Amino acid sequence: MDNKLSAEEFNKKLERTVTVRVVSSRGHDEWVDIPEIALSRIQNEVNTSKKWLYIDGVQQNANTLTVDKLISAEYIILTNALVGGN
Amino acid sequence: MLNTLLITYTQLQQLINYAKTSPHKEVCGAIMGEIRDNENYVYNMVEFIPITNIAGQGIADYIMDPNELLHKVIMNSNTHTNPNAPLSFVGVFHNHPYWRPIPSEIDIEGAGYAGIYVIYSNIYDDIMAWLNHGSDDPNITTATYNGKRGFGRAGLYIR
Repeated sequence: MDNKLSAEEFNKKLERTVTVRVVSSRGHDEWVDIPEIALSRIQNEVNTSKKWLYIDGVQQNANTLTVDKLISAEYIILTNALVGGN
Repeated sequence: MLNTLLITYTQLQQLINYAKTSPHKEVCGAIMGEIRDNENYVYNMVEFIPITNIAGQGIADYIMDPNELLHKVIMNSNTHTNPNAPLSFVGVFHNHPYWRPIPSEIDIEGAGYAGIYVIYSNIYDDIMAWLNHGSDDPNITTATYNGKRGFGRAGLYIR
């Protein structure tokens, strides 16, 4: 019985996906991936393309992001930054 | 008409007066408007939305508050995330307290959105407009003009 439940949980975990909306300078796109890969992709976007990460509408530090947080998020957005000056 | 932000005299005064409230620290905000000619980058300014500058010393002269930018601008732009929104995010305004109204290297590097960038210089009492063509490629996060990194000249015309 316990083994069967574990298998179900394992299958559920395999089926879990995360949807990330990526806002570009002229529009937006979306991609879907499993949480572990999504975490890596998000951190890469933030650290190399200087994207801003939002979980459920609040900006977050991507480097302290966890898979659990991604799974429980209702919506995830990456946007371009907007900075400047002289 | 090419690369132009059409603006009312009242709106122009609104931008300049907002910049004059902060002669030593940069202020910034989003220009919301209507796309009049998408191919030739002609926009009508409808509304200016001031955004809090959260920059600390030594980082950049302005960093738009990310949460304000998302909720007041990005989520309400029909060209970015909300096709049902009445307006588009068509431009950015900020001031240069001590320098000419010409985009700096930081401005080019941090111009994450396509549109007309209006810069007011407090010290020279001058205002100029610049075009960021932008890109559909989410990996391109700097200003681009005709496929090259940087801004092009734009017009600011009173309508």
